[in-house]
Amino acid sequence: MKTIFKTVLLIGVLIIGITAVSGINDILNKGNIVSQELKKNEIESYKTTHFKDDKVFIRVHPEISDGSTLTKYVNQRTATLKYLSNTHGDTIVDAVITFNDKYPIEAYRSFMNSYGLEELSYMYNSYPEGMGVLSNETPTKLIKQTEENIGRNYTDFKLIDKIVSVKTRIHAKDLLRIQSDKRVFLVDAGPEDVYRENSNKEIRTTIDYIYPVYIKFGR
Amino acid sequence: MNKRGGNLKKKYNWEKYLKIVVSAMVILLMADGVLAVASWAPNQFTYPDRIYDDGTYVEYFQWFAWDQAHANDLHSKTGSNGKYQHEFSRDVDKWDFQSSLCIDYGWWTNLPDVHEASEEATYPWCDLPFLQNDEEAELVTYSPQNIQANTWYYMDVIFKKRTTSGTLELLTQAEYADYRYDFGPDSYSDLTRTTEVP
Repeated sequence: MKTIFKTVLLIGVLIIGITAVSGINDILNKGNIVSQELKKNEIESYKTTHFKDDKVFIRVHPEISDGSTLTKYVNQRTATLKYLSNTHGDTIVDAVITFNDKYPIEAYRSFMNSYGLEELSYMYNSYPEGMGVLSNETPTKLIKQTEENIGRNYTDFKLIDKIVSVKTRIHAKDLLRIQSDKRVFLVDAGPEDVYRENSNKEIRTTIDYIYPVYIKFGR
Repeated sequence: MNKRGGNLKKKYNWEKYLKIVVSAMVILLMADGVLAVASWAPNQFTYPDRIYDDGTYVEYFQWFAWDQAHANDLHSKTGSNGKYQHEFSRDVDKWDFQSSLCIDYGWWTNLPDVHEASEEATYPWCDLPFLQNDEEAELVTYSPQNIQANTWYYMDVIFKKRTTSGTLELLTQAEYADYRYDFGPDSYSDLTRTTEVP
């Protein structure tokens, strides 16, 4: 009887665990789409996809063509941070952190650890040239082998020389604190409207990196 | 055999092998793979090279360059507000370029002023994981005027395999538009088309 109870308990824990791990990713499939909407304003275009069970996915493409647009973008994003901090403090949101400078891997790790952040992906500069993006899923072996393969064409080549930006997930209550860090140019959690319009829903957001426009117009 | 004779033999073999290689390249060019490019597209490029494959992730690398005439034409077509996009297109039921939340698995390039691709953000099949069409792994530069003639550029992309069965077509393609935020390209030009084993 005890064994049966333990087995049932184990199966229950497994089911709960699997459900927790799969979460929203299982909901984001075509059959569960309720509606889609494409919006465009002076700083971005973004697409909102509503799924069953109050799940929402936002894909944001910033459109920043000069310094004044970048300033508007930063101001609007700062307003998003304030809104989320004040009204959704316990929520975890997707965000892109753009750094003020290029940071060596050790300094980058130190920054992430100090806020308890884990990367979904990061943007990096190579030495002596090139830039790229890697996700947290990319195997270390692949990175090492790529560095060896490509490095043959250069002297002192380093694939991941400096980190310039990172996609991560942040507790909303920490957003303003991270934004005020002197190493940070912008914490970008996306358009405020989508949070206002979907305040009781589970939102996932993917925003394109803006580091290239920061380099061009923001420094 | 004396030293002189040995050298002659080597020279003969070298010429023979060169002829074989050149003939094979001509046949390949005519039969499949390298395609005639547009007047604004990179006119020198390599086949995409599979530089990594661990059974789950696969990585491709391609070199490409413009001669002066092609670079001039690209610059005249894109103007100062245009864009150039370089992409790897393949069967999305075989390989993914992005995870379920549209996070790129990885890319690397020396193109100037490069951004994550803009075009795909607007298409229903591009911004979600259940794509119905062939997905494009695509990068965009908003400063095509800074693309230099006779300079070798590269693009490296990482895919995650969905399956290892069958075959797939891998297409490398150049695109431009005269406005950087246009949803689609004004024109495109296929560079290479190869059949790959996933």
